[in-house]
Amino acid sequence: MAARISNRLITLCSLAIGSIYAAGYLVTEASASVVPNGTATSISPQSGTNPSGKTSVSSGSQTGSATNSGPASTAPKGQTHQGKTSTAHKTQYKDGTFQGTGTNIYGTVSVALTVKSGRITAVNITQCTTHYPQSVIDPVLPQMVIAKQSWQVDILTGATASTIDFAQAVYNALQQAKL
Amino acid sequence: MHGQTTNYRQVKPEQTRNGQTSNHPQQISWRKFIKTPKGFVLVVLVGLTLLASLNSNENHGLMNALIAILTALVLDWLVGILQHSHRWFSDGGLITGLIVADVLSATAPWYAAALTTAIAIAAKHLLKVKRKPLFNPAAAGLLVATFLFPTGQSWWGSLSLLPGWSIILLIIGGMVVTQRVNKFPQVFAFLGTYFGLLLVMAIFHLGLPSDTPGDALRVPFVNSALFLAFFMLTDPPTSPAPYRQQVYFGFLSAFVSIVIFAFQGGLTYLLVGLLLANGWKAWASRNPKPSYAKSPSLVTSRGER
Repeated sequence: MAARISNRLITLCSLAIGSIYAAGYLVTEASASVVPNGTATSISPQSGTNPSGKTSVSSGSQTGSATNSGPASTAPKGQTHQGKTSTAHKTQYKDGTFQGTGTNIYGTVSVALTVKSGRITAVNITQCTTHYPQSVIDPVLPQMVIAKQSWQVDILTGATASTIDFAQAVYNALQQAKL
Repeated sequence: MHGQTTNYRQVKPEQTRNGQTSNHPQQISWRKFIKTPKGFVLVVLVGLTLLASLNSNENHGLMNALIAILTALVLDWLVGILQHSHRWFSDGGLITGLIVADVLSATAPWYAAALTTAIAIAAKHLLKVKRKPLFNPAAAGLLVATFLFPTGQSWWGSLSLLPGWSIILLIIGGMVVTQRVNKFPQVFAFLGTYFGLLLVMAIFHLGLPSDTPGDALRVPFVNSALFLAFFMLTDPPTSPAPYRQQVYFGFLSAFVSIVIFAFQGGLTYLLVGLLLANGWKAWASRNPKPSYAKSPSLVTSRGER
């Protein structure tokens, strides 16, 4: 008959591991990046901290991560968070379908973005290899892009990295669409 | 046991408690099967999969699970024919298919689930040491799949996309399974090392900016580690039975996983850690010492997963 670990030892070990976990959780509390369920914040593929104090990551050389500790915008380099909507809406786009890709360590999201009469009319996710299912961001984020006419989308709960990838992909597609 | 399958036609009617003979041998067989460690794991996994599918985003995952299970059963049946076996139902293959489907993205195309399962089954039958699979079949298939298919792995079966409190259900199910297969030292060594090293990383601000200890310690990422610890690490044929070996196994798997997480990040660190530990187990048991052979081992073991 196989030896069995005693229930007392199981309890003690469980408590010890639980304590280690709790300590790690508390130590990382300040820098935790996972967005709590039911919340959504803005993201940015721009690196550095903008004047509003909100963190962001670069859209040029993607270092996209799920580590954003706060909201940020998807503004291009040199653009402040406060000006995030103005540039996006003022930019003129040529008609056509444009491809864009966003990549980070969790995977890649590619989009095909369609512009008609200078407006974004469709965003199709053509590739999604991130940790999370495509269904987490599709069709929510494409619809958000069409509604906002901008790559500046809100972070979806539990899919931070996928959202950043998506935002970068749309941003890259719009860069090609610029007149 | 590796390759163990169940032939339900061989089950004879049994006498019930009141002395009557049951006319439902297959029903009795299922009842017996569910009471085995393998059957118990299957029940818990099916429960988690159904719970996870409550998230509307994971509905397609159920279809993938069925396809993966069917693929595993058919392939194991074909291998059984080639090996002149009369077994027609592979319970181990069923568990392998279910784990593959639970880890793969729920939105992965059906063929990705089928091919990943096929790779897992192939690994089980081709990579053997002493008639036992060298690597955890599901982990081997999933690792290869990450390089072949851009499907993503969401570990949705670990309830990672359900509300945070649902992790309690995962832990309860996992603890019961661990108790059933007598793998507590291994699971405790893994989780203790895993969380301990993440704590060290957090204190000294180590790790990648894109893969922080804070991420790993929270839902949904912590679900992946718990799912692996409870349902993949504990696979009897690919993990040691003696307690001391279990501790080494758990420690090694967690240590390798965290090192990869700290320097590389990505999705595969848990799978790589497990597979390396599988390799170590095979190496350590190639010439078992007398003490190793006399160490406590499982009386019953469930099949490969």
